[in-house]
Amino acid sequence: MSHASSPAEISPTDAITAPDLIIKATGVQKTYHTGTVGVAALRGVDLHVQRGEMVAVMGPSGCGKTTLLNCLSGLDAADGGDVIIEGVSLSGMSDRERTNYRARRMGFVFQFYNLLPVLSAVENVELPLLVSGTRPRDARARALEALSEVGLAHRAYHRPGELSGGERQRTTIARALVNRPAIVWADEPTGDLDSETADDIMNLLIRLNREQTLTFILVTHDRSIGARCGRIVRMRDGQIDGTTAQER
Amino acid sequence: MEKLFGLEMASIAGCLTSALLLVVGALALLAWRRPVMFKLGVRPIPRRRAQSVLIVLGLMLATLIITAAFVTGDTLSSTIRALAIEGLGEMDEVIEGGRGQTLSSGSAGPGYFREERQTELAAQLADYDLVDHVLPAISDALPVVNVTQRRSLRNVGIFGLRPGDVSILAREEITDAAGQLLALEALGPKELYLNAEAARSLSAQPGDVLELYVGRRPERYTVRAIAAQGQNARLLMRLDQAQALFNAPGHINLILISNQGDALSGVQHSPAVTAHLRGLLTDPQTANRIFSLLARDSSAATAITTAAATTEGNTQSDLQALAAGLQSGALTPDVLSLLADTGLTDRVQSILTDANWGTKSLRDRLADHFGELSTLTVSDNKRDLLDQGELAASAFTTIFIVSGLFGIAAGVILIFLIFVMLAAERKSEMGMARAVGAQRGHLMEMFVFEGTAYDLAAAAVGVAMGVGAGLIIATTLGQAFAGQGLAITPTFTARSLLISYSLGMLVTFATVLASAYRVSRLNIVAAIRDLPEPPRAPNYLRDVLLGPIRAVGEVFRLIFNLKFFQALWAWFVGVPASVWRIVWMGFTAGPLTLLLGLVLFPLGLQTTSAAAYSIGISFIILGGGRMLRLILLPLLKRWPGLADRIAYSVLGLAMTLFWSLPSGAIEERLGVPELSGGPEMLFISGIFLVTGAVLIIMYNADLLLRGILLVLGGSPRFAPVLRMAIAYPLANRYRTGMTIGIFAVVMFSVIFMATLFKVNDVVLTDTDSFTGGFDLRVASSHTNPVEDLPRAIASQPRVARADYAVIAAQRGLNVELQQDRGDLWSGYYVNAIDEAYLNALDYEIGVKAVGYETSEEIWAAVRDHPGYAVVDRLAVPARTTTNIVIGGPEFKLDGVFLEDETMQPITLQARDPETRTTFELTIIGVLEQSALTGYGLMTSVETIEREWPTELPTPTYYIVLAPGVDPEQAGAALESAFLKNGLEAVDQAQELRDAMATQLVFQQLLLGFLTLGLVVGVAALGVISTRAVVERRQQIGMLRALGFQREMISWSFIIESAFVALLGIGLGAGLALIPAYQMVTDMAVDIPGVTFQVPWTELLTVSGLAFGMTLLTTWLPSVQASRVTPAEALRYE
Repeated sequence: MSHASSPAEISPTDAITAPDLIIKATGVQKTYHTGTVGVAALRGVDLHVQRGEMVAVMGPSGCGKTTLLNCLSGLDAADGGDVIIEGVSLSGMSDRERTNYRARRMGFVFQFYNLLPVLSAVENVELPLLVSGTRPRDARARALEALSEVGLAHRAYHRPGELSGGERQRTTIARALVNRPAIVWADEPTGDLDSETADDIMNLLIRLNREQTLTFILVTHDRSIGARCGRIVRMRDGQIDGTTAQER
Repeated sequence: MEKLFGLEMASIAGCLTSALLLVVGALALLAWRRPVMFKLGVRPIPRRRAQSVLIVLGLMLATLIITAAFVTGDTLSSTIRALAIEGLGEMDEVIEGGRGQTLSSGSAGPGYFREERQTELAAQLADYDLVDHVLPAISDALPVVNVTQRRSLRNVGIFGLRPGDVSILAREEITDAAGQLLALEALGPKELYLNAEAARSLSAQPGDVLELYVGRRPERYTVRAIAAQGQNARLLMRLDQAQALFNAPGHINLILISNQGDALSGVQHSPAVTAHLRGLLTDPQTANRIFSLLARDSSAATAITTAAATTEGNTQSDLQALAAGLQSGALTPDVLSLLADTGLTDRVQSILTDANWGTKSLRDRLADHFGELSTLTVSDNKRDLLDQGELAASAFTTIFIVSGLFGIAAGVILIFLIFVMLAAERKSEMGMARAVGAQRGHLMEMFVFEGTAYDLAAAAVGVAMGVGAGLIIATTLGQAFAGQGLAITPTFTARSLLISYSLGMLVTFATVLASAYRVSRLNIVAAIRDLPEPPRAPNYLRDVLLGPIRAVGEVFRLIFNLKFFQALWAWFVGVPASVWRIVWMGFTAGPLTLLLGLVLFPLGLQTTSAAAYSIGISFIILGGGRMLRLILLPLLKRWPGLADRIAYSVLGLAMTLFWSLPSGAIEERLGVPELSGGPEMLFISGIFLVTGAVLIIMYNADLLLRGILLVLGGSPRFAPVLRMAIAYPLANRYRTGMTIGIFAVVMFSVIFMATLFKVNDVVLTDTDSFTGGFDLRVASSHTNPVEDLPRAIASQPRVARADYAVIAAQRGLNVELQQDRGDLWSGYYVNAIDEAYLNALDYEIGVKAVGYETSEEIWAAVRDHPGYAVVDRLAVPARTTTNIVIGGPEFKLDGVFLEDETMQPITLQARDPETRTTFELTIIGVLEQSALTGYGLMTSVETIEREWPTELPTPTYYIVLAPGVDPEQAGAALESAFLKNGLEAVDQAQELRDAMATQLVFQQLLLGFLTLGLVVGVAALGVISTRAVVERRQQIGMLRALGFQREMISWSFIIESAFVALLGIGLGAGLALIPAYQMVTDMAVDIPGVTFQVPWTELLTVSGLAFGMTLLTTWLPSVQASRVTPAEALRYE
């Protein structure tokens, strides 16, 4: 199966084949309040991402990586600035519209998988489809297809508790992809995995990015993961400290 | 209330309070020694106020139910006590004419004796300290007509006292509404006082003229004043007036004794005073003869001892004392007193006859001696009345506590659930504590401190709310019985509240302790990382089995190291704990549970105990199921969960099937003797049925989920919400199973009771079966009876004869019956009915003698053949039994069963108990219905007139009204026309409806009480939902990230609770109908016309209520869940 291929098998080509802008963030600010103390997590971040790009957001702990991901994806509302996804401003959307938009156009991969323990792998994967109104029978077929895509068809009816860490993360990736989103947000997608499994997962993400022209925004503190992305955005103290484009 | 479940309330209170103080004291000491654990335990309580309030509400339910039951008992006890005091005032004992002998001369009636007898007795008691007063009195009853208001009463009590003795009555009966004393010396020669009830019934006012009928001669009196209270209609006059009225100058019929002390405290001297009085009043020689007869061998004492075991209260203690006295061989004053107690000796004679003691001539001689023993008899009525009150109060409390067992069981499950969830919430915290050195014991202490803090508050709240619930019950009962002249005033005692608090607190504490022990057994790594508990270590079994040896070794090691105190601790705590682990493992794994079942099962058969037998079988099923799981686990390890599914499904099915079988279904095939069981069987069956069904559901839940999704999951918008709502409860089997169980046990009790209460509908829908088609029942005064009502009506111009279509007469007689010569004579009742009655009655005959085809033929035969009779159903045994003892007559017929269609005629010997004149009756049918007038044998009046040696009693008339005639008006017309005869007409259908209305209130009350338990279920879902919001915070965040809208999250929580509540409600209601159907079917044998009906109204009302409350309780957590912001929820693991 192709998903099991080693890093050497992935050719370092630029994944950006459609040079249109998918994310345009301008002056994004976010402050968290703990009691009377305010902590500025984002201090006017500007970021542009092209469709099909694979961007790694890196930086030390507490620099605002996850906050940036949350604000860009609409999981959290920014206090200032503007986030435009596919030409639509998130700040102008209501909570309901943002939620709908996430369901249709975004996928999420998290460090701790965040699978629902009471559902089987296929049920977890089909959930975004059901939420966005797909008929249950069609949803099941597409979920199985997605699991097959990540090499987990044979574990479709197992619950997360019965899967290994790598299998769980593959399930999460299948769930993120099943709705054919425009953007996949991944927060430390390999953070809870051993290096070999982490490599496997990265190969899978790169393959999907290349084959399906998916836009990936990865938050990571792992340099080797960052090195395999098309661009690295470095953050420090809530601001972008620098950007490095790289060959893959 | 002084006793409950046969135990002294004072002892119960003492034991429980001591246990409570011991627990609280021990915990206080522990808290002082380990302040850190104490602080850790109680710290979370004020931090999560809403959750703490919910927990306290959940924990208090058991206490609430117990308290409400006690308040009800206290109220009834106090009511009956008040009745005793009001009716008897300071009178503690009463001396009256003995054993039917007429002691008077002149025209005074039976039971009158010379007034000098009181003077003599007073002189004899002059130096006896325990008696304050010895007073002469006349107490009788007669018909009274209020001429002024044209109202009459057939039977009004009349009391005559000397003016100076009036204070022996209750103060409220001798003062008017303004508090003025009703002085007897102020009465004119033809004046009297009325009490409140007499005035109410006669619509009397001061100044009204009353006619008092002694025989046919009316005496006119004027009402001077009316007493403020009085529950039984009574007139009060001077003794000399009463002597003149009853034509008994110089005679009385009562000597009233007032003991030292007030109206209530004087009763404590009753046993001593009664014994002393009986010693003074009995003939010593006759007493010696009786004693010699009874004590000639041990057989009489043995029979009395055996019979005492099945009685209660004072009768039991008196019988036991008499048996002991007979065995001692000496006629002591105490034994003499017992022999002079007519109520007791009547019972003793009945016991000896039943036991076939001695010969018949010996028993007859004994009866003659008893008749000659005393010319005056002493009754300690007040003590007996108070004793009966205690028994009634105890019975009511028992009914409510036994009914409340379901709620209490649900409460205990909830307490367990709450603490297991609290433990889950702090799992990682506890894991960390263990990692840094906290012992398991420390975790237990922490939980016990927290639990006890909740418990102390919850028991107090439970008592307060229980008092409220109890007062509502008592007030409702008061309103229901107000129409019957019974004033119920809600009340409670501090002792009952103390018992309720202690009991509630200890029940909760025991549950907290068990749950604390369970949660302390955690795996440190799994707890810290919030992972499922790993399987037990491979050497677990070996470690447990070797535990006691190691514990003993540890004791020796400590002794060897001269650590004697630690060695003592290890010996008294460590060794028993290690043994307990083996026992516990034996029970949880199955073998010991199976073994216990195998012990209980034959024990139940041997002792004919339905509880031991059926619990034994249930334990065999439980133990067998657990062992089957152990066997299957290694065989099916390739299919995770399959072993559990098979084992628990088999267990659940077997359990449900066993408890669903009709009573006797297995037992009859196996030749098992008839088993006996009480109301506790309902509770036991409910618990096991629910357990079985919950196991089946929880281990096959995925199939259920698929089914539900197949039906409801087609809607694209609805599918994800429904999936989440059902997936969570089905994944948490333990938690969901317990919550379903809570709802199911409570619904089981409510619906079972409601179905049984539905049986009463037959009474309301088929009135004629109970009244025999007669509209009115008419009786007149025994002192001035209407001997021939049809003729009397015909001669009354104010009464329209045509309104009364049929006027039939029935005379009731006490008889003794014997089926075969040599059998014991058993007391029973005969109704002698006239031709009009026989022609009009509408009773069907259930079992007909061979040769008769229809009921009409049977009644015609009774009419035409003197000596023929029909028997009611109560005297006929049934082939199947309901396991419920409803009482019934002493006499039972052999050779026919209720289920039969035909019978051979049965000839009985009947006799007059007084004269022993014997005659024959031939039974040719069994009545179909236990009618209002149908108690006893029914035969023609000709039969009785031909055989009965003495004058027949005054008849009671039964009237069928002409079509369209209003029973109330027709009855009122008769009462008005025959005022002087004290005639009373009762509308039978209305009487039935009134009785049913009171019963209905009681039923609704009991159902309401049972429904209280549903609050437990609702609280459980509230706690679970609140906890779920915390537990699933990240998952909610993820769902929101995936596109779940806020309302979808909210709905998924609400549907989840609704799903669990509906499962529990449906399961409980469905299961309840199984035993209810069997019981109603069994009852239908005894009460024809009874049919099984699903109580839809109650079912829908209670289900709707529970469901609505569930939705309300879950609404708040669901809103909280919907407000979880995805970014924050997903930030931390």
